[in-house]
Amino acid sequence: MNGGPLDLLAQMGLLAVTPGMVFMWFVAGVLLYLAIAKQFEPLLLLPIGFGILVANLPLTGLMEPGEGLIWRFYHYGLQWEVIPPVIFLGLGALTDFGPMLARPSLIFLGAGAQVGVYVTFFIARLLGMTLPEAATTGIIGGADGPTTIYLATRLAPHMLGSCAVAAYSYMALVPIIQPPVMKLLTTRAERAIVMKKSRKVPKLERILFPIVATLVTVLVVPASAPLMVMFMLGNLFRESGVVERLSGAAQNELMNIVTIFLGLSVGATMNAATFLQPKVIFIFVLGLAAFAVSTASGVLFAKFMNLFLKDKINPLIGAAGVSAVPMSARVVHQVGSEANKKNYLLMFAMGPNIAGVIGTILAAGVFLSMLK
Amino acid sequence: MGEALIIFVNGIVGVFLGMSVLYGAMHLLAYVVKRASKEGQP
Repeated sequence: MNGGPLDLLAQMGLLAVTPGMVFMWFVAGVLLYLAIAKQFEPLLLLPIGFGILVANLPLTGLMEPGEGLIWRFYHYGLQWEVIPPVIFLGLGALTDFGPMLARPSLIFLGAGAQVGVYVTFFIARLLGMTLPEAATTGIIGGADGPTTIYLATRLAPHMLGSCAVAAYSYMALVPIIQPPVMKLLTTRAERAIVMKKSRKVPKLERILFPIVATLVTVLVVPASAPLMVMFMLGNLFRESGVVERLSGAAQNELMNIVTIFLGLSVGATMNAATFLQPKVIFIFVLGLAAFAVSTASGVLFAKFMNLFLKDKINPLIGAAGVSAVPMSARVVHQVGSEANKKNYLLMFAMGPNIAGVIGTILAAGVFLSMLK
Repeated sequence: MGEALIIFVNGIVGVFLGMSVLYGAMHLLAYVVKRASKEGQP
């Protein structure tokens, strides 16, 4: 037993609070406000905000390596690379590849939008970031939260929290970020293009696709395997129609459980020492730039494709090549219907939107294979 | 900076190559499924 009547005072966190911690409480408060009052990506921003708050309470030991409760979630969930692939299992079970299979050429829009990832990577490197840091910043442009977290954990763990918050914040801000870029790069006549109806995709093709896609993509970029394999397995659960329980569990219970641990542990990596650095401002500014450039490159690539296509596509759907499923497809639909009320672009935009997920996984795979 | 340029080029080539191969596979898959369904008809 420790002696002294004032020992309790010495062990109180109150006396160990630093100005940096107070600032981080404010950051946590902003995220919690956005999640609860504005409903911006609440499933992630709420646990992230709470994680930031508790990680910046003194003397708790929650993130103490080898001992802390949240450190264990972080270590076994993220450092062991378990949670992001499990999230992709759920995403696969939620994804309908039908719109993409109906018009295969739209997958190139998912690739076109990844140009923004690499342009931002290059700019970040020019600004003095290391190669792994620049790659982690660039992938924010793919607008895919789990992929950003996966790549950050592998390449630049010290940037994990800020990159994840940037990615999810910008995904919530898709309706504000994307429309000005889309309108700037297209004429009203282009936005009003009505696309030809797509074919109906047979059930057998839907079942075989995840198997074929796994073989093809993993053979080309093997480093993309952890995310791609789980994504396609989830989709096979869904499309096979024989394991509804597994499909339901992957979409709901499993996804919800890992989302709690993902958000909490990502938030808890953001302590004052790692967050209050000039580099974090770079991450947020470059992340926004990555998002805008990816949107622009998707739209421009759609216009480029129109030079060769007999049945013209509406270039707006190129903007859905960033992932942000289904938010960016909805935004495309909304901007398209402003130009032509008869235009119904949602299902067409879902093709590049889903292709964008595959594109971002491939982009992350290339980074990993070259930098790891 | 040379390394960054190499990764930049490899990245864009890698993503487009992956998507191109997938594009080809999707067309092949659609063709095979169409043929199979035709052969199954009386």
